[in-house]
Amino acid sequence: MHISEGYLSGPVLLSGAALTAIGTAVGLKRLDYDQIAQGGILASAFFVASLVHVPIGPSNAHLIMNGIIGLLLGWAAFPVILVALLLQAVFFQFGGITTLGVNGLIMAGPAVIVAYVFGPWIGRSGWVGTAAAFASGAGAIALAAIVMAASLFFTDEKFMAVAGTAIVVHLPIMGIEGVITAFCVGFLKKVKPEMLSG
Amino acid sequence: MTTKLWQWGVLIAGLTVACMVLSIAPAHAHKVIVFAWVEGDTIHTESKFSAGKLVQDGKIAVFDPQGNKLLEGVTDDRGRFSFPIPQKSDLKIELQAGMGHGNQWLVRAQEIDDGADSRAPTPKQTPSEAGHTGAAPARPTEASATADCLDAQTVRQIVTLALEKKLAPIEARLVEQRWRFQDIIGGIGYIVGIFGVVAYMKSRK
Repeated sequence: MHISEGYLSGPVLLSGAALTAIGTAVGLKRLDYDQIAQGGILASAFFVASLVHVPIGPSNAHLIMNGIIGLLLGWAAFPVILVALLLQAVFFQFGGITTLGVNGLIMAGPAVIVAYVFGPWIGRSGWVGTAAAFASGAGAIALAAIVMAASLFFTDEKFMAVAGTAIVVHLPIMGIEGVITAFCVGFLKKVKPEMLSG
Repeated sequence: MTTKLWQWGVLIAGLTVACMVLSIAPAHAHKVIVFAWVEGDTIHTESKFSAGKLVQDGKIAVFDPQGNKLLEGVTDDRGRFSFPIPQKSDLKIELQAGMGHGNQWLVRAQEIDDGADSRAPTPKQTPSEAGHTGAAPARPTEASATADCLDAQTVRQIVTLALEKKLAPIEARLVEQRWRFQDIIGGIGYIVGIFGVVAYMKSRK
């Protein structure tokens, strides 16, 4: 999902950076003192998850984990994901420095959307909560694929084709992350339910 | 409360270990690499994802130093695309592998010059003429070589070609920089540091 340097035109890069800057500002404002340690742990998880390559199907995809980050942090997903993306660009050459804004939007935007759409359902007991958690994990990736296709649309590629391919390629990842998210939420509900209110 | 903290710690430790184990085994994800080398009068390119998967149907475009597009093509199912040298200058080879994956590689003019000189020697550069004009030849080895059987130019040409063939895979391997375990630990260290700073700033308010 990381878009490399030199792929996008100036206006796309700028608008991506602007939107991510707004998201980050909102996120930092809403970041509670108590959430900081949690944010750091999730940033580390996001940073390392990109190295977990899933060799299923025709894809060249890796775990993203933006769904669970959105559920736990809400708007604070923006600064957290941005930090991890910066380090991924520096250490692994995933994405790039100029595309940080766009990549931040691709991955953190869906995290926030998922938090608003599925967040309220997470607290329910039984299968409703589990299904909502699964949908957050899988949905955040599908949304990321759509945002990515939208940002590539202005370059040279066809929106529907790219969005379609990206979603198909990430289907295994969506399944895996849905399950991971469902397990995490189930675990946290038992152990530390106050974390899920964020 | 203590049991909760304890369980929480186990979760983090478990996740970390799982991530590390999983990440070491394949130890790569998706960054795309394009690599080019000169062989005779042809430039070969090979494109792959850092997972080792070859880029098929990737778009390759070649630019001169001024940024004019000289030619373009598509990689075959071995991730390769070869083209004759369009001109003697630095050549920028750009790969677009789809879905935002791209990278570039620079072929320097001197890499091309070596091959080009041996291929089409201009009359002034032939060793025999150098031998005629210079009464005391500056490069005695070349002059003596001409006297016998193979002239130095031919030898150089053969050696260059052979070297290019042998070195291509080695250069290709040099390009495949894999990140190391230190990078992962270093990155996590940075994250801890950054969030430590954030916590400090927030705590002073």
